[in-house]
This record gives sequence, structure tokens and C-alpha cells, in this order.
Amino acid sequence: MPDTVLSIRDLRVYFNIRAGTVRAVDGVDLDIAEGEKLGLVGESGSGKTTTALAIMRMIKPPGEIADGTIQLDGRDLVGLSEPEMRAVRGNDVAMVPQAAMNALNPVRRIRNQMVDGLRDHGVNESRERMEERLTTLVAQVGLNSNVLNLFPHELSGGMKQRVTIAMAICHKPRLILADEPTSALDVVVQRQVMETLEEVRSEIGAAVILVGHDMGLMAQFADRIGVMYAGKLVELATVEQIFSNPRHPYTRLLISSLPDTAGKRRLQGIPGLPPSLLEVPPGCPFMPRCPEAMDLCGVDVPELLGETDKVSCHLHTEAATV
Amino acid sequence: MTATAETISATSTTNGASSSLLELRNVTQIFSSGPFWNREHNYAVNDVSFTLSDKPALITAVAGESGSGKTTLGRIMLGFQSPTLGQVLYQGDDVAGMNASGRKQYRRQVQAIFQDPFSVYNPFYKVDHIFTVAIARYKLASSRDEARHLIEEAISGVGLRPSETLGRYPHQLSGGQRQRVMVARSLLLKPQVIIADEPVSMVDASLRATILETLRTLNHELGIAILYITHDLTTAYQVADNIMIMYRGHVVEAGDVEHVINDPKHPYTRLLVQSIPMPDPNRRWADMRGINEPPFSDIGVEQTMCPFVNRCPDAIDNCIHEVPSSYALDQTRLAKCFLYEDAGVVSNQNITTYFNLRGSMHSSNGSDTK
Amino acid sequence: MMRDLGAEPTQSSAAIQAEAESSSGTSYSAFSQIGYYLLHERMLSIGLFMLIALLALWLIGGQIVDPKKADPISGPQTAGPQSKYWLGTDFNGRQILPLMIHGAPLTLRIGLYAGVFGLGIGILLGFLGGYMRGPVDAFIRIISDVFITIPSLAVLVVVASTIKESSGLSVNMMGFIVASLSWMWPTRVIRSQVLSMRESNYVEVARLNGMGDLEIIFRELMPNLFPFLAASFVGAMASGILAAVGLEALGLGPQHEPTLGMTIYWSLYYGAVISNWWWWYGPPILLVAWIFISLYLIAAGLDKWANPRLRQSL
Repeated sequence: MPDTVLSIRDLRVYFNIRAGTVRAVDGVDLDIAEGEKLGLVGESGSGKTTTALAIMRMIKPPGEIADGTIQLDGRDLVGLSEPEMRAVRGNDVAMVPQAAMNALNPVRRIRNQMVDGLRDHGVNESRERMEERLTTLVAQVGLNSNVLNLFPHELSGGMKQRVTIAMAICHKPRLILADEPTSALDVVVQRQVMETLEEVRSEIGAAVILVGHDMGLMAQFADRIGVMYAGKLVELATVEQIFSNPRHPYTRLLISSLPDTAGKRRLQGIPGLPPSLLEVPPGCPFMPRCPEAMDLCGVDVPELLGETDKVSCHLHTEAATV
Repeated sequence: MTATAETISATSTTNGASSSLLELRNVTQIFSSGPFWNREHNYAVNDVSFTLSDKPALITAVAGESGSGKTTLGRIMLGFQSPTLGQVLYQGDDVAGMNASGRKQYRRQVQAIFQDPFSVYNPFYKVDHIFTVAIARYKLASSRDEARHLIEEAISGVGLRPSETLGRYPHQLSGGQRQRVMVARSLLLKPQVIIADEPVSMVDASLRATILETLRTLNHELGIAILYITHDLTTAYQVADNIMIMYRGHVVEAGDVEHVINDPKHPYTRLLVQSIPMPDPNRRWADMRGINEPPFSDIGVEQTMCPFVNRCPDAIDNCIHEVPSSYALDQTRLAKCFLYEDAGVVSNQNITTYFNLRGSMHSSNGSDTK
Repeated sequence: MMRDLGAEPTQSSAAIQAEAESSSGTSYSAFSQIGYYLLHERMLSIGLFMLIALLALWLIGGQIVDPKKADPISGPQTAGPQSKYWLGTDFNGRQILPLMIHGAPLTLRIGLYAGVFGLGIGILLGFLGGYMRGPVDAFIRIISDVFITIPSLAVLVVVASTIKESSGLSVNMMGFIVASLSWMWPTRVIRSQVLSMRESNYVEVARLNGMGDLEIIFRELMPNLFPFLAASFVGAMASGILAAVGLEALGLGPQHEPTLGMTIYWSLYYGAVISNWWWWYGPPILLVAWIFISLYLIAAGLDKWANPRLRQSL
């Protein structure tokens, strides 16, 4: 059994706004093993991005980490001071952002931006050593060292995303958070970027949390998938399990709604809308949309139960506890 | 109700035979940029001809990466952009030379669904605005009550509750709701043609299926011809009858969607299909060799070459000397690639000639029996 | 565009928040929103209050105080504040309080001309350029950019002194002189807004709904521009008053009208500062400052309203 890199317990992220408290993340437990690739899926507002931001401690007011612990190699990030956290970001946990074009400064050459990134984390070497380092980094993500001389607008979307990957891996982090890193890219480039991410990940042995809503991408990339709904983790299982035998009704509907190319069929969406995170109703948050809801679901919130494959659904509570 | 009657009477004049609603004839769109001494010409759409007709009304997908010209193609068909070369014909008349009443008819009958479900709403008005203006302009109702009834009918038709939707500002609805309201607008207008540009790419997965299914209903039951512009081949496969694959302004492959996606011929289409992230962990991406990242710019690929030459694993000498013609592989397929030179150059440049018309035979029946 | 890695999450958390708010389903009418905004936007409400107080002074004071008291020799020469003459009198025996009540609205009127004229031209040229684009837009942009670079006070000094030589100035003429150079900023602001707005999909939906160009401008674009228009109106007004007071203090104003700037000019002319007649030059300076502060607060408040990036999360 490999070591656990990240261990999240009862994470709660609340946004205090005029109308009340939005429970964006509402009690998430999650363990990530060394070198593991975890996919975090859910629709917008399900709390997947907020969970990733909480790990980076980048929740901005009016949001706050209301409760819980986030242990990275046994060290609780929630209790760290901002200067301590700054050292963790980039060094131990790195982020590949969603929109590469917004993450890069449009008026500075790639070289200068990468040098800044290295210097910020205390790397201060001679020009030649630094240049050597940069060349190796961009080569690792499959780019020619020419790109160092270019401005972001001279790069294609895929190349920009590769640059952000190079920046993310430059300190060999233990954990990489990738928030929909390819949602702005075309399928071919998406595939190339994901393959690059996988290559560099296995080289440095980092764990990855891939946040997104594209189940196809998850199937291609992840070892394990966590399905989020209304701020809670409703199912957490291996990718094979999720696709071949989804246990939570939400996961099941999500997978059956995916279009494929193996014969035309009637497409079935999930009826209804996700609940407001402002006034959380009692019971299971998925109950109003669930085709298999029972009386119990309206009063009791199911817990996330199970050994390796976990699910939080009353259909499975007895099976799991027995 | 009056609108339906009007549409049917308009279409039934050409009883039986397939009639052209909207046709592109050798359309080329060139965008020029840069200073006059170093002008760069970008061919967003390069000599494309095809037709959307009403008997049978089909769903035609246009797929390609960003910058392939698929969105420009849609904007040309909507009349938001006049092509540099070629003609756009609505019911046989050139849109450029239309009189006011013809133009109004064209505006009324060729409608759109956009990608971004937020920016289509004027933040100043409630969502009702997009319905009330259309009803007033096109005189779809004779009284307020009738208008209200039409709107509520359309909203219910896309699976939303009118009481929870109307009277709200766009920011008070979720992205999925906003996009469905936009589809409801098409349902109310019952146009002859809908140009849907990436209608589900900004919508959550759980709602995509619902919206696509509504599009299919619009086509099957109301006989509306739909151009479905997308970068997602799986939804194109599920929704469309035929597909055109675009690359840098060229239609590189076209035909029956079933054949094109399950047996791609053009090297670019193959690459696209291989890159689809299948929602199945047992069908992972195969090894991709010989495919190059797109270069820094188009420098190197001239107008006189095959547009895909710099990335193509099967490129031959000929590819850098001339642009391949479209070759007819069979009844329902054409490809713009020298690999298929033996098949012979297409006899008719109009891509629609190679479409499979079987797909929605029942749709014409549907509108007849109404 | 110039955001760095660290700034990225702000947007996402704001999006979550917006999503959460929208799904809560509460709906506020436009009026209650304005009311809420006024209540929470202290700058705007204080500015409006100050302006209303000034108008009240004019309306109520004008009823109570006889305007004749602002004429010369209606009181003793340079008398300090006392029970009969609350704010004293000037060198020519004019009573300062009636002078202020009579003069402040004149100054505001000049500002109003600048605001109306500047905004009017700004709307016309801004919409023309932004909506039509092409050569029309290029021409309008070049003209307004060229005018912006010309130091306006220098031009105004030349124009005002020429007119003054030939025929003498009235308050209205003063207003028009100042207004003639108040349209460039509104033009630029409105043009850039229209330019970005016309690209939005809702303009295309309006076209698909059969709307014509004029209708799109008035029904789709104009309402969204309202906060911008109000802010440019106030801005043009403030810069108009600034220019007018500046010219008047140099003696290039209407000689026979007691505008605030002219009162300052006369007080300087008769050496009020050296003679320590503070009740003479003090009130007009305070009133000018009052007007500026109120207009500034209104403009800043409206700007926040118009510019979502400055808007505090409500």
C-alpha cells in the first residue's frame, strides 16, 4: 500500500454572502495515495473547483475554510500561516490552471515568466544553470527551447498549456492540481496535452487531482474518480468500477447521459436542477432528482461508506454496513 | 398556431421534391489583417457549397477545431457576415440582392442558438424580452393573452415551468435553464432553419442530453433543418444525419455521420476520431505517432498546398504542390485528400449531393400529416 | 487580461457565489435594487444629498432673500458678518449671502450646459462610431483624440478673451464656450462601450428578432449604458464648471453677472485677501469646493455602479 500524500477530513468551505451561507463544500473526506491520479467530477457549483482551491488555500473572501483538515504528508495546511503556505504552493502542491492564456502575463516573454517562478521559490543560480534548467523543463513538456523567447500570444493554446505544466512541475511537487486544464482546447490538442501531463507526472512521481466535468477525459486519465454533488462526495471508486458498475443513482444517470459513437440512441438527461447550496434541505441532496428515492432519503443524509469503493446512498447503506 | 400554418403553407408550395431553403454556392471568406504593405489573408472558409433543404429536413453537423471556419460558416448563413466570394441563397434568391420583404422573411425563417447562454440575454431585460420582441416583430399573436400562451407553451415544450422561468432576469437562471429558454425561443418561432453553434459546450453534462434531444425533436417533429456546429464528435454522431469535417476553411471530409465517424477516411478525420476521449476506461487513447503539434503559425502551409500537409502522417509529394480536389469515395462520402484520387473528382461541388437523405424521411411525413 | 496565477481563483469563487445567488431564486425589482444601491453606496448618496442641499438653498433662499440685495450699494462697503448682513458685504456694497444664492445657480447652469452638450454630442458621435465602425468610426476617433490633446484652458482663454473684447459675455455664452470642449471624453467612453457591446450575442438575437439598427441602439444598448451616460454627464459637468471658474477667476467671465468665479475674481481684484475680507472670498470658494465634492462623489458612485469590477459584492 503506497503512502498517503493528501488526506482531507471533513472539509467545509462556506461562502458568507448577503443572502446567507453558501455551503460550497460540505464535509468532504478524501485520501490520495502517492502517484495516484484522482478525477474529481461534478456539475458547476458541485464544489469540485472549490475543493481544489481549498487545498491550495486560495479561497478568497467571502469564502472561508469553515472546518476540517487538509494534511499534506502529515502536515495540516489549514493551520499554516500565509508565508508558510506560500512556500508550500508551487513547491509541494502546484496548480495547472484552466485558462492558460489568463495565467500567463501577455507582455513578458516565457523565459522571464519562468525565471520569476523559479526565483520566487528561492532558486537563485547562474544564468547558464538557469538556462539549462529552463531548456530541460520545456523539453520535458515536449516544447522546443525557442518558445522561451516568445510572448504568450505567439503560442497556440496547447503550447501555452504546456508552458503552465512546465511551470507547475519545476519544483517537483508532490501533488498537482489540474482544474479543467484542457477545456479550452480542441480534442487533438487536448489529447496531446493530457499525454504530456501524464508523462511528466510519472517522471516526477507526483499525484494528480484532475478537476473537470468531462467523463470521457476522466476515463482516459484517472485511476480513481470522485463524484461530487451539491458540495458532497457521493461516490468514490476506481475508474473501472465507476464506469462498469456505478452505484450512486447520480453517477449512473451521469454515465448513461454521455453520448458515444457506438450506435444512435435516445439521449437521456438528468431531470431537475441541482439544489440551492443556500438552504440545504434535510436528507440526501440528490433526492429531488433521484429516480430511486425512498422515504428514508428525505430525512437522513447518507454517509460515504465502503472500503475501497465508497458510495453515499441509502440503497447501499445496509450492504455497506453488513 | 398561425406561425405553424404559415410555415407549412410556405413549404408545401414545392410539394414532394426536395426544395432548397438555404444554399451556399462557392462561398469563400477571407479575413485580412496587418498593415497594407504586409497584409495577411486568412481563408476562414474556402470554396464551400452546400444546401440545407426542407424535404427531408436534416440535421447537418459541422465539426472542426477552433479556427477551422465552422463558426464563420454559421455566421455567413445567418447573414451576419457577407462572404468575400460566392453567394448565399435563401429559397433560391441571393440574400445580398434581396428586397426588404424578402429579407424580413429570411430573418424570420433562419434562426440561431448560440454557444454562450449568458451573453444572448440583454442583462437589462427579463428573459421574456427575447420572446415578446419576436412576437411583436413577426406578428405571431394578435393579443397579449395569445402571446402569453405561445410563450408558456414554448417554455413548457423544453421541459421548464413557465412560472419559474418567466418574469426573471437572466442572471437568476442557471446556465442550463438559460440555454433551454433559448431553445424555447426557436420552438416558438418554428423557423425553417436553425443554426446551432456549439449549443451545449457551455452547459453541464447532465443537461446536454436534454437540450440535444430537444433539437432532435425540433427536426423530427417540426421539420426544421438544423446546422449543428460543434467540436465534439460524439454529440455530432448522436444528433446529426450527416457531417462535414472542416480544417482551415476547407471541408476535408463529408458524408453520412455513421460512416464518417466509424470509418474515417481523411487523415485529419482519423486523427480527430482517435482523439475522442471515450467515456470507457477500457478504450483508452491508442498511441499517437507521427502527428505533429500545429506549428507556430500558418507560415509554411501556403494556399497552394493541402492545408493539412504539415501535420499529416500520410503526406505525399503531391500534397505540397497543389490543393487536393474533393474525391467521391461512394454515394455518401467525399474526402479532400490525394489518397483517394482514384475515386475520381466529385461531379457536383455541392456537398449535399453526398449526404444520406434516409435519416429523416419520417420528418417530412411528420410535417405532412400535421 | 493581465491576471496572474494568484488572481484566477477570485473569479471562480465569485462564479460560485453568483451561481449560488441565482439559484436561491430571490428576485429583486429594478427599483428596490436602486434603493438598495443608494443605501449601500455612501459616496453616491452623500454626493446627491450635497447637490440637493445646494439646490434647496437656491430654491428656498431665492424665495426669502430679495435678489435686489445682491446689487451694488444695497449695503455698506466691506462690512463683516453681522445680524443684518449675515455674510457681510463686498467693496461695492453687495450683500454676500444674496450674492451667493443668486450666483451659485449661475455657475451650476454653466456646468449643466457643458453636461448636456457634452453628453449629447458624446452620445451622437459615440454611437455613430461604435455602431457603424469603419471609416466613420476612424474619423470620429481621430477628431476626438486630437481635441483631447489640445490644452483646453488655453483655447478657452483665447476664445473667451476674443468674445469679451468684441461684445461682452453673458452667462449663456460662457456656458457654450465651456461646453464646446466638453464632448471628447463622453464620446470616447460611449464609443468604446458601444464597440464592445455590439459584439455581444444579444445584439445578434435582437437582429434575429427583426429589430433594426436604430431600435437596437435605443432599446438594447442605451439602457445598459445608462450608468455610463449618467457618469459621463456628471463628469462633463464638473470639468465644465472647473473650466468656467478658472476662466472667470482670470477675469475672462461675464462681467455683469455674479457667478462664483466672478465673485472670486472681484475679491482678488479689490485685494480682499490682503485686506483680510475673508467673508468675501471665503463663501464662493467654499461653494465651488462644495459643488466639486458633490459632483465627484456622484461620479465616483455612478462609476462603481457602471463598472462591475469596482462594484463591491453586495
